[in-house]
Amino acid sequence: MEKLHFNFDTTDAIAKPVHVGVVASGDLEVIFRPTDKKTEVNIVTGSDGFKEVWANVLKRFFDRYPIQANIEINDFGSTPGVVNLRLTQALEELKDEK
Amino acid sequence: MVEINPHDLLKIDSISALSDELPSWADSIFPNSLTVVVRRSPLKAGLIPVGVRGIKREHRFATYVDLKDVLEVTTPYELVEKKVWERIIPERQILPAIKALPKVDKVLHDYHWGISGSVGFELATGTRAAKMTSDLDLVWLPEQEISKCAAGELLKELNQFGVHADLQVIQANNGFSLEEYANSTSTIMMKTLEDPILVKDPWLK
Repeated sequence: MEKLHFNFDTTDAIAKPVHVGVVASGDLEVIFRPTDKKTEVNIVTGSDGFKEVWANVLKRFFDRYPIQANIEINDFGSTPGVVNLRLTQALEELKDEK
Repeated sequence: MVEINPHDLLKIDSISALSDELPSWADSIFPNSLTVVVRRSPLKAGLIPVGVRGIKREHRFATYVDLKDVLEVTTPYELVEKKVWERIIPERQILPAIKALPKVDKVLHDYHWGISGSVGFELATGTRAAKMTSDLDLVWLPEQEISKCAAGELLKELNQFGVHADLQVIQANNGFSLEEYANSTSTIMMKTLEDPILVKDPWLK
């Protein structure tokens, strides 16, 4: 198990918390919480040694969607494709709640 | 013609049947089983996409194999039909995910279900793939759609045996998590042969 921490400079504050994904092999759980501080991403992953892959996936996401949130991720061996999809799903849920 | 599906376990005759050279972590473990798991991914030039399992979660390796090099195919459903857990040595029956199987079998008596993940691999190969903390990953080929409410009830029944159990619902080449469906209020993730997609209604019509 590995704990990873990332910070991003973003601008678009979110109003409500959202929670997507499931606790299951090959999947992950993503929780976005509103914050007035810097965007912080805390990841707990069962797959060690993928810090660079996470950094790339997250950078690409925040470059496109500069949301400001406190983000918690619990990963159970998901692929980058699944991570992207869960982040996108969380975004959609934010939009739905507006 | 043999039909091969994601989650099927393929026994091959030698390491050289794989399209790629294995990483070093596989040296000590893979020769014990010579068994790969079919990945949910497209065929590549007629070759079957497969994964090699290691002991750790990050020890997964994606490669391809030719059907002609496959000696034996075991589906997750055959493990249930043959009640393979009855032949597991007592020492391994203490694992919560294995211990739960006779009870899960009673709950799913009328379902076409199978065992995937580390437990399925252990049952099929006799290698020690499951851990004390392993979840029970199951697959289900449904005959008809069930409601979110019924899905929640079924999961509650399956999760009373001291291990986290989830059913992946198989829809042709695709699959989704019954747990996600039961709890969903908007979209859910559908795993496909290509990248996963978000869908509102996961059932095939």
